[in-house]
Amino acid sequence: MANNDDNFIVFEDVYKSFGALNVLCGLNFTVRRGETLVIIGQSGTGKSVTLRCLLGLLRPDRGRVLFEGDNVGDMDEVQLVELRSHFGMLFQMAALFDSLTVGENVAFGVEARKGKKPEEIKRIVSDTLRAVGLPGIEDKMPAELSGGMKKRVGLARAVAPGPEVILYDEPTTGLDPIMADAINNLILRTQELYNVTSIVVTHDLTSAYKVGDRIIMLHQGQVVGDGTPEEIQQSSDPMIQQFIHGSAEGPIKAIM
Amino acid sequence: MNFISSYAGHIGSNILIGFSGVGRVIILFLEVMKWLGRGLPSRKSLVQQMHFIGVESLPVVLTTGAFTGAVLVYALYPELSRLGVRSWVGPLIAKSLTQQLGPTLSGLMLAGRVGCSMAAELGYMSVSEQIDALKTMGTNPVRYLVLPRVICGTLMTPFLTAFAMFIGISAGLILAVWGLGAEWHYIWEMTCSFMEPFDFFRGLLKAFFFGLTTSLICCYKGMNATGGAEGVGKATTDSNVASCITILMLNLFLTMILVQFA
Ligand SMILES: Nc1ncnc2c1ncn2[C@@H]1O[C@H](COP(=O)(O)OP(=O)(O)OP(=O)(O)O)[C@@H](O)[C@H]1O
Ligand SMILES: [Mg+2]
Repeated sequence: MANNDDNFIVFEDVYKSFGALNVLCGLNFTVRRGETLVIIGQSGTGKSVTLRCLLGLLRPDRGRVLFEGDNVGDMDEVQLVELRSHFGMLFQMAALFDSLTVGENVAFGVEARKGKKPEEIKRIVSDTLRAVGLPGIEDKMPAELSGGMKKRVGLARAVAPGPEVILYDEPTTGLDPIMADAINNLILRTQELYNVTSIVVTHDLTSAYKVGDRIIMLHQGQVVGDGTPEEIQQSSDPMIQQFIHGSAEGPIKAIM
Repeated sequence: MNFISSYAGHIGSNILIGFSGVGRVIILFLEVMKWLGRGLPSRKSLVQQMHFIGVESLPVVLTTGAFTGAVLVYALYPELSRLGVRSWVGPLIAKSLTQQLGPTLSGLMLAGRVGCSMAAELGYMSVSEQIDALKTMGTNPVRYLVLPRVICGTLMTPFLTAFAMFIGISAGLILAVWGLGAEWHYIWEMTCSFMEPFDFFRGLLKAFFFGLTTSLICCYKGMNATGGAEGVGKATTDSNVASCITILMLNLFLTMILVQFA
C-alpha cells in the first residue's frame, strides 16, 4: 500500500500541445497521498493545463497521467465521472455558475455527490461560506460579488463536498494580503482536518512556502525544480533563484 | 488564376467545415436523445426555458405574423382584383402563412432571439470555465444545459408558429375587409373551403424541425466556443448564420417531401 500512497498521482512523460504551441514537454512528477504540492512557474508554462489533464478535461498527446494507478487518458465518460468525484477544483477565474445563487453554487457539488438531506446541505453551505469569510451571502448572485469574493466562493464550492484531492488554481491571486493569509490558513486547516491531498498552483511565494510540503517549479513544460520550501529557497539553480527573487534578468527570458 | 484557385480552395474548405459541423451536430443530437432516454431534466430548468423561449418570444413572433399577413394582403389584393378573383386573397394568404411564411419567418426570428442567446450564454459559460466546472462536479453539460434547451426550443417553436399563423391570417383578412373593401363573408367562405387541417399540420411539423435544428446548432456552437469575448461573439454569429441557412434549406427539403402527401 505504501507504494500506492507514494504514487497517488503520477505524471509520466506528459506532452500536450495546442496546434504549434508545445505546452507540456515531458512533464514528470508524483504526488503522495496526503501531501500538499505547490506548483510554481511563469505565466503560460502550462500549470493550469497540468491540472486540466489530471481531471481529464484535456487529454495528453503522449505520456500517462495516473490517479491511484489508473490512466486518466484512457478513461471513458463514466470512468471520468467517477474519477472527478474524488476531486474538488478551484478554477483560476472561479468559474461560478452565474445563473445560480452563491448558495446554490456551493451546494452544487454536495447535491451531485451524496444523498444528503436539504437541511444538512444548507448547514454545510453556510459553514463553508463562513470558513472562507463570507457568512450569510447565500442569496447573492455571483455578478454582485467582487473578484476576491468570487474566488473565495469558488474555494467554498471546491471544498464543500469533502473531496479527497483539492486542486487550487491560484487561490490567493487578487486577494488582499490579509485575506490571502486567511485563505492559506484555510488550505492548511482543510489539509489537517480531512487529510486531503492538495495541489496548489500559485505565483504567491509567501503562500507557497506557507502551505507547501513540497514545491515544484515548471518551466517550458518541464519540471526544473523539486524540493521542500527550504530546499527551493536555498537552491543554487539560477532559474529557481531568478523566479523566487522575481528578477527579469537571468536564464529565464521574461519577454521573448 | 491563382486568385480563382485560392478562392475555390477557400469555398471547398468551408464546405468541408460545414459537413463536419453537420456531423458533430448530429452527434450532439444523439447524445441529447441518449440523455432524454434516461429521464427529463429538472422541472425548474424546463419551466425557466419554456418561459424564456415561449412566453418572452411571443411579442416578436406575433409582430412578425401580423405584419407578414398585412403586407401580403396589400401585395396580392390589387393583382387579384385585376384578374377578377378578389376573394382568393383569403385562401392565398392562409395557405402561404400556414405552409411557408409562418414557420419559416418564425423560425428565423426565433433563431435570432432564442438561438443567439443560447449560443452566447453557453459560449460565455464555456470560455469562463463554467462548463469545465460542471464536468468537474460530475454533471454532464449536455444533460444539464443542452437537453432542457433542445426540448423547449423544439416544443415551443411550433407553439409560437401557431400563434404567428393565427395572427397573420386574422390581420390579413381584417385589413382586406377594412382597408381594401373586400366582403367579409365572401373571403371567409373561400378561406374555409380551401384550408385543410393538413395545411396547419404541415407548417407546425416544419416549425418543429426548425426549432430542433436551431437549438441543436446554437447549443453546439456555444458549447464549443473558445477564446474570450471574441470567441463568444463568433460563436453567436456563426450559430445564427448556420441556423438561418439550415432553416431555409430544410424548408425546401421538407416542402418537397410534404408535397407528396398533399
Ligand atoms: N484550450 C486551449 N487552447 C489553446 N491553447 C491553450 C489552451 N489552454 C491553454 N492554452 C495555452 O497553453 C499555454 C499554457 O496555459 P496555462 O493556462 O496552463 O498557463 P498557466 O501556467 O496556468 O499560466 P498562468 O499562470 O498565467 O495562469 C498558454 O500559452 C495558453 O495560451
Ligand atoms: Mg493558469
